Amino acid sequence: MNDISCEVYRIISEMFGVSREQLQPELPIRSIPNVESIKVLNVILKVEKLFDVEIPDEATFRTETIGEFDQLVQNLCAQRTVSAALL
Amino acid sequence: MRTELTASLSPARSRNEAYHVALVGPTAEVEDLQIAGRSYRYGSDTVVSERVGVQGVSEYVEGLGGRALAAALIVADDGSIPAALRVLRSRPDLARTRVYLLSRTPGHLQLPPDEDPDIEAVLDLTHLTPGELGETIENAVRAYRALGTNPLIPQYYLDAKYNKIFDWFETTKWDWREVDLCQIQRHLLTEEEIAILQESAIIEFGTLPGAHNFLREWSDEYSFSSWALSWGAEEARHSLVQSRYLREIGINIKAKHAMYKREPYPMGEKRTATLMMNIISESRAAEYYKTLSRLTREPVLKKIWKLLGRDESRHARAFFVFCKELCDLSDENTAAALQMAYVWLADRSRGVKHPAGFFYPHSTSTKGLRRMEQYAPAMTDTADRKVLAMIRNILGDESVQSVQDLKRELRARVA
Repeated sequence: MNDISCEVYRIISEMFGVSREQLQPELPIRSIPNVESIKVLNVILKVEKLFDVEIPDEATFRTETIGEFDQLVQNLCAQRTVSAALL
Repeated sequence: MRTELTASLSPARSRNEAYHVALVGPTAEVEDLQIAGRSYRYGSDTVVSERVGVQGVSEYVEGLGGRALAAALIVADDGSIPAALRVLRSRPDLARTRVYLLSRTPGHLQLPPDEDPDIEAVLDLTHLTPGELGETIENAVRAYRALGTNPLIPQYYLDAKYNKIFDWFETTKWDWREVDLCQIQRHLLTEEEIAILQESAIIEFGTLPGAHNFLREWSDEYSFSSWALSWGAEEARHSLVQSRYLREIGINIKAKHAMYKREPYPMGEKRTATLMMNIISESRAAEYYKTLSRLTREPVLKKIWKLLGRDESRHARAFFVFCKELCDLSDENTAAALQMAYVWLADRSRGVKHPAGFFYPHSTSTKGLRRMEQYAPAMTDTADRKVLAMIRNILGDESVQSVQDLKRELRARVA
C-alpha cells in the first residue's frame, strides 16, 4: 500500500469511525458502518483537498467499493503528476 | 416562617449536572426559607440552592462561570424593584434565568411600566408554604429548561419568522371550491396520466412522517414547528384531492400505501441539511406538477396539478426562508446545507432523489418518481436551476451556477 492509499484509508476510517482493519478493498462503500451520503461527500472533499485532485460527480456516486475509490484517487494523482510534468 | 422542601426535592447525589437557584435577600429572610446552601434531586436533575447577599449578586453570577442559574428568588420587601433584579436582567446571558419576587406585601409592589423585568411571579412571603416553595423551584427549573438555547427564539412571540410568512400562506391557499370533480372529462385522460396520478397521490403520503420528523427535529422552538403544521395541512390535501379525483374515475387508492409511509425516517443531524433536502424535493415536485398540468388535456386535472404545483413552489420558498435564517447564523449551518444540496443535486445515478422514495424502498414511490422524470425529463433540470438560485442567495455569491461550482465552494470550505 503506497502513501496515497494510506491516506485514503485513513480518511475513510476517521470519517466513519471504523478501524482501518475493517476497511478491505472489496468492501462496498454502502456497506461501511455508519455510511451516509454526506459522510461520503466529506471523504471526497478531504481527499480532493489533500491531493489537489477533482473527483468527477459521476464517479462520486457510482464508485462501488473502497478499492475502486482508492484506485480512482491513484489514477487522478497520476494524471495530475503527468499534467504538471508537461507544463 | 419555617419551611421544608417537599419530598419531590430529595437530597442530591451529585453536583455535576446542577441547576443553581439563588436566594437573594437579607440574611434573616433567606435563612428562614431553610433551603439555602442545600442540594436536592428533582427528577434526574440536581438543584443547588445558594444564599446570596443583596450586594453580592454580580460577584455570585461571575462565580458561577456560566453554570446554569435556573432561578433567582429575590426578597423585595420595600415595595420597589430590587437592585438584584436589575443586575440579573442587565445580562443577556441570564435571560433564561427565571425570577420570582418574594414579598410580605405583594399587593404594594410597584413594577415600573417602562421596564420589562420578566418576572415569573410575585410570591407572598408571609404565607409561602414549604410545598409552594418546592413547586416554585421545580417549575422554575422546568421553565428554564424549556426555554432552551435556540438562538432564533425572539423576545416576543410575534417576532418569529413564522408570523412573517403566515399571512403569505393564508392568502395564497387554494379553496376546494376551485376543484369541481363533477366536471371531469374521463375521455381526455391518457393511461399514462392515470398511472402518474396514482403514483403522485401515493408519493404525497410521505407528508405524515415528514411532519412527524420536523416536529421531532425542531423540538426546541415554535416558529418553524408552527409552519410545519401549516405545511403538513396543505400537503395532506395533495393526497386527498388526487385520491378523490381517482375515485371519481373508478380507481380507489389502497390504504396500505399510506401505511407503508407511516414509519418516521431517520432524523437529520443538521437542520439546514434537512431544510435543503426539502427545498430540493419541493422545487422538483413543483416543477413536476406544473409540467404535468401543462401536458394534460383534462381540465379538472389540469387545474388540480396547477394548484399543487403552486403549493409546492410556495413550500420550497418557505423552506428556503427558514434555511437562510439558520445559514445566516453560522458557516457550519451553511456548509451542511451546501453538502446536502450537492448530494441531492449531483447524484441522479439511481434516479432523482425525493424523501418519499428515498426513505421508503418498500413503497412504489421510487418507481413513481422515475416514471414522472422520464415522462418529462427536462423538468428536474428546471427545478434544480431554481434551487441553485436559492443557494446563490444563501451564499451571496452569483458564481455558483452549477453543481460543479457548488462542489468548488464546498472544497474551499474543507479545513
